[in-house]
Amino acid sequence: MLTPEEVKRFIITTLQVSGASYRQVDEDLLLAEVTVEIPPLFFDPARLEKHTLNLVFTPEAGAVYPGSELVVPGSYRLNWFLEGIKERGNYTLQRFSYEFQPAKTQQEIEELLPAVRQDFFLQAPSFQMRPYLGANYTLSYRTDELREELVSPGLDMVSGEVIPNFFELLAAAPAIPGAPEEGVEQQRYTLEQAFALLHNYLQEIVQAKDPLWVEEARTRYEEELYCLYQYYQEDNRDTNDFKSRAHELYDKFRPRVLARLVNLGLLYLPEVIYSAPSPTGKERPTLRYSPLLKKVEGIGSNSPK
Amino acid sequence: MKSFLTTESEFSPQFELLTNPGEMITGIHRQQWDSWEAFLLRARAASLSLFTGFNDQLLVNTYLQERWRQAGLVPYEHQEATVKRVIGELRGRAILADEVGLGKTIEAGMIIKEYTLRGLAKKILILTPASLCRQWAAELSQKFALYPVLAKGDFNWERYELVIASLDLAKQEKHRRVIEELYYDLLVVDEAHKLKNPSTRNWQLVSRIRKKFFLLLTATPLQNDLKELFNLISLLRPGQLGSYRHFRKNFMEDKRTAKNPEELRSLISRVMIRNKRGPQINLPARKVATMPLTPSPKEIELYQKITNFVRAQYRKKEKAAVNPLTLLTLQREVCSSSFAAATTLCKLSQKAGEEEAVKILSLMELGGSLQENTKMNLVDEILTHLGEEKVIIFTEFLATQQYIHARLKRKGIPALTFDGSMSASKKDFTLGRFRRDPAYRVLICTESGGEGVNLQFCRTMINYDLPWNPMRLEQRIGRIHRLGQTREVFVYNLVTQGTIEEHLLKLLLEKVRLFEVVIGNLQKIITCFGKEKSFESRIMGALVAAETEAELTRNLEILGAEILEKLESPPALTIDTLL
Repeated sequence: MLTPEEVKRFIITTLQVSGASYRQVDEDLLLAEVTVEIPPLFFDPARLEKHTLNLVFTPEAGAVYPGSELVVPGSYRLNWFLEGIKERGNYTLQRFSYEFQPAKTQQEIEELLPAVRQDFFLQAPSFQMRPYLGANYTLSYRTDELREELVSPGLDMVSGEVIPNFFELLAAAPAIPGAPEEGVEQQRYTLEQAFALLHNYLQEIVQAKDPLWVEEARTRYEEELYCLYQYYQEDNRDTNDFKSRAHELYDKFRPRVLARLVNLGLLYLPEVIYSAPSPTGKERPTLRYSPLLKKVEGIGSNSPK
Repeated sequence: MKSFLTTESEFSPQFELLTNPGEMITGIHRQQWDSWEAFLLRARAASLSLFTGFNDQLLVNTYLQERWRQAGLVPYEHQEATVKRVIGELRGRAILADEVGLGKTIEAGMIIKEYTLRGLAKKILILTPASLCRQWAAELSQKFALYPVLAKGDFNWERYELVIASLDLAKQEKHRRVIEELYYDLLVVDEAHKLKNPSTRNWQLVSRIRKKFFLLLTATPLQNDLKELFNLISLLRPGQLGSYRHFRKNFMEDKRTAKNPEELRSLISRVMIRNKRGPQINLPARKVATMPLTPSPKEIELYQKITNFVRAQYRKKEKAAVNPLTLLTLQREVCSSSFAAATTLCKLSQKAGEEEAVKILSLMELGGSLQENTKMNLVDEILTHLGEEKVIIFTEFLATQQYIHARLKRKGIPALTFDGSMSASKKDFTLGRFRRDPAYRVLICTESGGEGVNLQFCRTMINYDLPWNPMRLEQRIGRIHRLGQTREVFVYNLVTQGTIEEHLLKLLLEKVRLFEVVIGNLQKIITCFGKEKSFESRIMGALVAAETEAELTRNLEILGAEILEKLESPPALTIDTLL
């Protein structure tokens, strides 16, 4: 559950992103000027209107500022903001920077891989940007009840690997709008293939889930079905009617998982690539370090483990 | 049934992708990029909008808190408890059977809103009597920020998510066919006591509509017999009371007497919620004043001559020139006004034989010679005494309503009229005007005009005439004395001395104890008198059998004693005795 402070921060961020003007009068009161679309009414067309909102975030503050509107989790006004922001942030194209410092980077790698060969660090590394497709999905677990979760995987467009909680890893990273102009690793997966992999991943999540929600729904379904049967077991009842109602019950209780895309990002993350001398004289072993994902791969060869 | 019990694979979760990958790719190719901050915020908003499971907290309270605060609306504890129980324990299928005036519509509105906020209901159909469609729409929009579409004419049932329709419209063949093909997340049926017979089109329509959640609203789920209760509950949840054979064997002594009441009560309480007036649900007091008036000599003459005519015709029985129901109406009309009586006399004169026509015409002439009625003088006095207070005047008869309106107009008192013939939009407009415009102090309502309408912004009522059925009188008062009424309610009963009205009011006050708000007793009385000899016809019988005032008094005392005996007898079959 959000605290009042978290609610306020969310509102302020929303106002900033939308470019709406606002003023924090004090700790408790936030004034905001927002543009509202008034729907068409009879012969009046739709129009935009500016409204001033006086927002408070605790009931105590509401008592101090009469006429203010209380914004709390579940309130109409918070939902209004949540609905309003749905028009923004649907697609993004970003690249991320990384400040390379040899010693620091080496230390980071050694923390992830203590047994790393030291000869990787004898030469200066190269740098490239690796493309990722990051997506936020809501998964709705539906029977006659509903539970939802947000899933935020990222797909490595080169290796096809899915990184769970992708955006958590990037939350504090400095993002720069637009794709890099050079040094981009060639992606091996098309967008169609990438989506297919992401959707497989979503299905794996669903399959791995504790099946209790399904079992409970099935129990409720069978209880209802048994009750229905009691009524229809008399001779003169219409069996087609029974079938129809039984199907109705099944529709009500059957488990479904509905996946809906929230938003999508094409993101380019920096990679630091080390190579070491090859003992056989053939292919040089490479080590790829993704500093934002805190991931090391490809030790001894170019291909991912 | 075996074929419907599911295997593991039949009941394993089905994965559905709601967003088309093609659309996603198109979106990327359009390159409508947004900032990183907006992107993260959008995801944050999505996570804050998630529904993470049922708990005891209702979303509707927080969501509508501001709206209700501004409207001065506070849901009652019993309403919140009902909503929680329906959504939780009863899994969204319930009969809301609160007593009249305790806010069933509010409870239903809360349930509808709660399900929409929880993402569990999108396509919703509300079936009501035609006269209540607009009221439902107004309540849902004002109190719950729900904006339904009213179905009428050639309606596109597939297109709209939240629809209010009259049962009469929905059961028409062309609409029924379409509705039965659709799937509703939630179906709400108001005045569901009309759904007690499976052979009716109403019952069959409601039964065939495919729905996930289902609410039936009625203040009188049990009126006459247990089979009707079985039918109603089986409509909601077939099998709740078993098969009819099982039910009859285990729970019916006869159609009006239950057996194994404890077990039956337990079964009923799993699908029905009934809140009643009591210490936990308080309404402001109602104050009732009897206003006797002495009629003019001509009014007395008219009353006596009409009563004699009615009595004579009634006693002729099959040989009577006039239908008994018409005679009953005429007797009630002459207590209301000379104008109402004149209307019926005029119609009778056109159909009567020569002998009767002469009598009727002479009555018409007498009635026509009365330009004013004494009752209106009393109304003038009451209105003067009340000052700027808004008042509702109830009358059974249109002619009386028109007279009251004209008389008030002559006195410079603007009044509005409200009756069953008005269109829905005109009714809305009139009520809105009465509520908001201080210039209109008086609303003159007929019985059918007042049906189901909520007028609790007003607290004063004048019963210009008295319906002979105490339930109808209680229903009138229920328009203003109901949940939402914050002030004491005042009821003025106008009673013409020396008429049946005087006796009737005495009966209602002393025997039925009507105004003490014992709804259960009213139910008992009406149920006991049954269909053949209704309460009205018993009163008529008492009047017709008497030759003198003394005899009439005696006859009505006998009726009164009968009422008392029924009230004191073991409880008749009502839902309250079962629950």
